Amino acid sequence: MGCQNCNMLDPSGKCDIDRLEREPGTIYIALVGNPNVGKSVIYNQLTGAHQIIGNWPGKTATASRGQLKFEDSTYDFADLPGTYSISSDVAEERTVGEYIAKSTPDVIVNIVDASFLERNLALTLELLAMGIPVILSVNLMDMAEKNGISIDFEGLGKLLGVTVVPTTGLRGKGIPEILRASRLLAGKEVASVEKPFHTPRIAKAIMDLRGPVERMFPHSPGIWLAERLLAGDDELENMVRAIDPSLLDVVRKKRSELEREFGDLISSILASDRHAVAAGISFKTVKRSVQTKTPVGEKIHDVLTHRVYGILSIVAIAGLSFLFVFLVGDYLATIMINWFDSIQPSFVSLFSDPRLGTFLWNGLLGGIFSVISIALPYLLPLFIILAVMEDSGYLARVAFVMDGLLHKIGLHGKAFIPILLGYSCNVPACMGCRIMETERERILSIFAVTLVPCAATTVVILGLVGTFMGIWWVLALYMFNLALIAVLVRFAGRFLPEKSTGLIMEMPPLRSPSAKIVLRQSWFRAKDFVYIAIPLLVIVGLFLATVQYFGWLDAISDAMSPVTVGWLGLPAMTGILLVFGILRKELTLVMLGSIAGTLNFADVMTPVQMIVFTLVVMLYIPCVATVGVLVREIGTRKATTITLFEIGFAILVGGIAFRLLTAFA
Amino acid sequence: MEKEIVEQYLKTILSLSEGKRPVKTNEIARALGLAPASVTESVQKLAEKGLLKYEAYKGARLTKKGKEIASKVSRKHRLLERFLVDVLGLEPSKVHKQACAMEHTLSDEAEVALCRMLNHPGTCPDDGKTIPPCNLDVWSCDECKKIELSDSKNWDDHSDLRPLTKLGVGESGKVHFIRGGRSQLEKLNSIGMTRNTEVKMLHAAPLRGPVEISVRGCKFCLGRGIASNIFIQS
Repeated sequence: MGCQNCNMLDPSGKCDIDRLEREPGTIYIALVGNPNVGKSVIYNQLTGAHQIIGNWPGKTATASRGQLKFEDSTYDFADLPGTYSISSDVAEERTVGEYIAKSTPDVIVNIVDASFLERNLALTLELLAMGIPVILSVNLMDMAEKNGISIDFEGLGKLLGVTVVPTTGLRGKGIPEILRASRLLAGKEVASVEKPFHTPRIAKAIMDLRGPVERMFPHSPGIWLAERLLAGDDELENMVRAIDPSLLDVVRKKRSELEREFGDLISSILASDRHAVAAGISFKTVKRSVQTKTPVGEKIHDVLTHRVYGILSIVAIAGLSFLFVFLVGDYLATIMINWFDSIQPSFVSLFSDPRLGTFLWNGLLGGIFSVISIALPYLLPLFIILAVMEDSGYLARVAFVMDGLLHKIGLHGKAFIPILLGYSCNVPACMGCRIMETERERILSIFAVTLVPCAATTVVILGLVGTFMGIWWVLALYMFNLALIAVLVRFAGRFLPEKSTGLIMEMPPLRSPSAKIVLRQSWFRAKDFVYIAIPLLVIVGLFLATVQYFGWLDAISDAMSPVTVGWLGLPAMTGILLVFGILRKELTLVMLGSIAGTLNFADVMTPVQMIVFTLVVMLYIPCVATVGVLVREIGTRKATTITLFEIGFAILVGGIAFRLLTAFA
Repeated sequence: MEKEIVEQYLKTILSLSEGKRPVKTNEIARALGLAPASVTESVQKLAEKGLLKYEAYKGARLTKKGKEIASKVSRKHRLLERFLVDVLGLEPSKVHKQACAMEHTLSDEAEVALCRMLNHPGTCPDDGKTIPPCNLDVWSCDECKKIELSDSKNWDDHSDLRPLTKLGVGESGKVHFIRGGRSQLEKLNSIGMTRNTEVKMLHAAPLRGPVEISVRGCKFCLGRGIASNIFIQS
């Protein structure tokens, strides 16, 4: 009876998690722990992978697997999402518990934060009941030592009956010890925990149920099942009902006895008791040297989360980051552009037909050229700043302060980060939306990001409206854009099923960022971007070069004139400009110069036309690289919806603006 | 004085005082649309009944007993508003007056039954204010579903409970009651926030944003919606 693949006997025979396909001789290890204790850092160290790491909770959303060979053995690791408990009804917490129960790794490496042993141990106590050998990796030891915390590892190991390894994941300290301990423990029958880690009264209730439960499910960890049954796990109750419903009466009686005695709900009694036992163990094994003065980090934290100074510091830090990105980006971009411009003539002269040379230059090299000379110089400094904010723990503070404001448009605090990033380039900003917890919030913030004018759009806004109409019009456009984002995101939120969970986030500690992590993180992000952007830009570049080669520019502009001239009131030549803008938005302005044959755009466009044109460019499509990343992040269907909506919306807004501005001008 | 008028006064004073500050008779007069002189007279009568303390020039301050009645009435008022909007489908802007008229005749048992039917709402529909907790001796709304309302030992005095969001920075208290479904409760349990756990308010974000609290030595941010449904005993 039941599912053959699992050691959890499921009478329904259904099983949604496959048992690991085991290679003989390989040791299977699951990394489990609270959020933000450094699981992914250790996983990266072990497997050479580059899982997203950073100093805020909730980065690992799904389990990932990787392998390592060490001293003649093969190890297979699963990096599981951070969780505070495996026995509650909360979906993400259940996932981890079920993964362990059904995939039955050889060893669980439970990673705990040395500075907050008390809270971390509550999860350890649950893991111990599962009948799988546990290694306790007491991580972030460097931070704990700095905070004056010392831990009696031997005593801790004895109290819990597990192997304890002090680790500092970032420096790889303790990693070999974890591997050796895993090899020793793997395949061994655990001397199963003889009694639950609970206070006597509750332990007795669990032990009373253990016998009957073990007879019912002989291959499963009895204490764990008994505790879950007592806690009122619906699924387990259904399984028990199918076999012997009379046991449920016994369980119900015990449950109500305890509830009456403790005056509390059973799940809370159990959680509360686990935390009390964990506090006791931590009290016996952890020593803190008394700190007399408030650490500097605390004081900075107070300023950053203050209701007034917090907002001021966001404005200041965002402003400085912008300045940094633009100054460094502009400097690098100028060097690159000059260099590319200087080699263009010699490249073209390689070919006997200069038209062919220009074709190849624009088509093949143009895409690569734009990535290296325009995007990367702005992106690299941006990625570095982002990584610094991430690793220092500042990001979590921004999320905290901005939460109230963003709630008004149906997002929450964390979304502020990618939206801010969007002002330099939408592509990494869309990828940054992965920090949002729920699918709904991720899609909404991606949508918000695609509406933000990126650096290339800024070139058009400044070059056209800024130069010929003045800074106030530029500001007005930006404000109008912000208002549009707020309205549209609120509106879009109505189409997505409401499943907002509300924020429960641990405040990560402030620390000075590590140069190694910052550079690694920036490098991987940049690489990701290049892989997405270059192929797309080359393809579209080739297409446009072909159009230009055969002299179809005017034909395209004519075909588009009902919209551009008829509805938007723009000059006919803007049609082809908008097509080129799909590739890179600043191309609309560059091409305008070459097609109009003048850089004094006031000769070819009226002020109203400039505003309308800029509005359309600002809104009409996420550029081709952004569309590429949209497809990857949210799938073809939603990416198409967003793209088509924004094209339609831009045309609509442009047309209305044309009519209103003409009426009032 | 009639019960209805007493309750109206106490409710108004509670909402004007925001828990702490003494309220001047002028403010009460403005809120109720009455002449200041008659308000002063009524307030003095209420002081005689031991429902509030009144000092001339400083204002009125509710006693424990007064606060209990006031928060009971606000609870009924806000639940009724929810009922009028969610069930009867009235406009949120129009239900205040209607609820004012109904709140004084609703029995405690009917109030709890209403709360159950509405699935334990957290805020009122017109201005999003937190609905005060009920007087049942329960620790979560799941528990409420199981108990017999007519049994008097299931009732408790909850006038000293405050939502977590009302704690001042640096203030601390013990968790007494968490409103909401089981999954929310278990999530909070798993970070160590269980009944009678001590929590301390560290920071409150602007614009009705989240709060940062410390619980069992760790710092957590809780969204406003969650925090305002955790009730604290100081």
